[in-house]
Amino acid sequence: MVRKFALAAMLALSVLGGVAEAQETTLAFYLVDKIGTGSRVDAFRPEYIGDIAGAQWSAMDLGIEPSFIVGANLTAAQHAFVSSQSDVFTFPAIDAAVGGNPTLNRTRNALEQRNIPGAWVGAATTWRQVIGEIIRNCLVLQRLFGLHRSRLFPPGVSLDSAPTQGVLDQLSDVGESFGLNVSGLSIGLTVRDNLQLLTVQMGSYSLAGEMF
Amino acid sequence: MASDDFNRANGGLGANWTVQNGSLAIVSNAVNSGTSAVDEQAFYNVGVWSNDQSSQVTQVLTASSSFVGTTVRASGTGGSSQHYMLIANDVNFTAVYRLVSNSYTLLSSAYSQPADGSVIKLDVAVTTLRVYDDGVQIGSDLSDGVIASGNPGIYGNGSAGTGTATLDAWVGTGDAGVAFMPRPGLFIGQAVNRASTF
Repeated sequence: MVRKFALAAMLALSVLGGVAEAQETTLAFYLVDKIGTGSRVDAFRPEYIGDIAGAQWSAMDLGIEPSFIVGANLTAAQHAFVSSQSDVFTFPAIDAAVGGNPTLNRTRNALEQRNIPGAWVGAATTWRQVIGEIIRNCLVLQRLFGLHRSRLFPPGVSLDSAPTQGVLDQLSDVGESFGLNVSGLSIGLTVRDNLQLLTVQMGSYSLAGEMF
Repeated sequence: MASDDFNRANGGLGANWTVQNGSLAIVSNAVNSGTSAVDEQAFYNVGVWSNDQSSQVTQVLTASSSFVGTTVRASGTGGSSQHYMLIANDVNFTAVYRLVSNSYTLLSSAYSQPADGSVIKLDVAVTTLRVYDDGVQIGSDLSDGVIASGNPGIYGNGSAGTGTATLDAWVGTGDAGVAFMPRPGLFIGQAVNRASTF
């Protein structure tokens, strides 16, 4: 496993032409898959970015779900490499608006495919707002994992599923641990609506030096 | 605040420390990685710690592939161990990991070179983690919500051989300088408002 990780890192280095320390870098944000086995040398980490030697980045995972939101300072070559991957969603300048189709639909789909609510995103929504909502979902699902070691989206459960009472109780625990009002949570609402009842109450958070 | 200079006889860390993994031990008045290439952690078990806390050590490494570091919100042992963990070496790497359910998750990486003798620190406040090298923040703030409570601790990995990762002069702080004051009912996120970073 160590050899596999080292090989991946070497490959990344080879592709990218070396470490980033002496080159100009730019901060950008990416939504990527989670890779790794969980050992320390093959830790769960953001795909592609986590294997770029010398890169400075910060990431949040979507609890136990297989996604990371990442803020990374990458060289132009590294950014091009990561952005060219078909399974990576690269965010444009974060204070710009999403705009119309096809970007709007692509964004909504990219979020929903990762069980992150995306239907709320509109043409006037800024990328900073989108990333902020991803971060808040990450925190809710992280705390769910931390408190109950449970997964909100096991096979067969989607954003539009109705939660069981057990799931609702766990979401309530998460909300209370963040000091949120959980009185509106209901098994009569979808998982999506219950998540949004929590995230709408949450504040601003920092990722890679930006507030969202 | 609590501290430990580890100035005592060679051997185990003592009753104030709970070993989570490995066999960190005192050698020549400092803490040494006891087992080659094993991630070893221990947390300070005396007192009641605020959820907002920090842990710092002086780093001394004799091999570039070995690591030392600190942990915050540590609890449990063996397969039940959990914590946030800063690891550093003196060549090119600092990183923050989360250990939960026997699995490590890499939360950040920075190309940074704390020199031997540097004081490295990991700080956590509500859901924000920060890394410092001699008082200067490395990288930017991190946010993570998995681990809500625990104690500060230490970490070592003598990847290059037993005794190649040494740390000394540990200091742990609680909440805003009010360490060891139990605050019944306070839990992560309670004091947060929409304008804050949590």
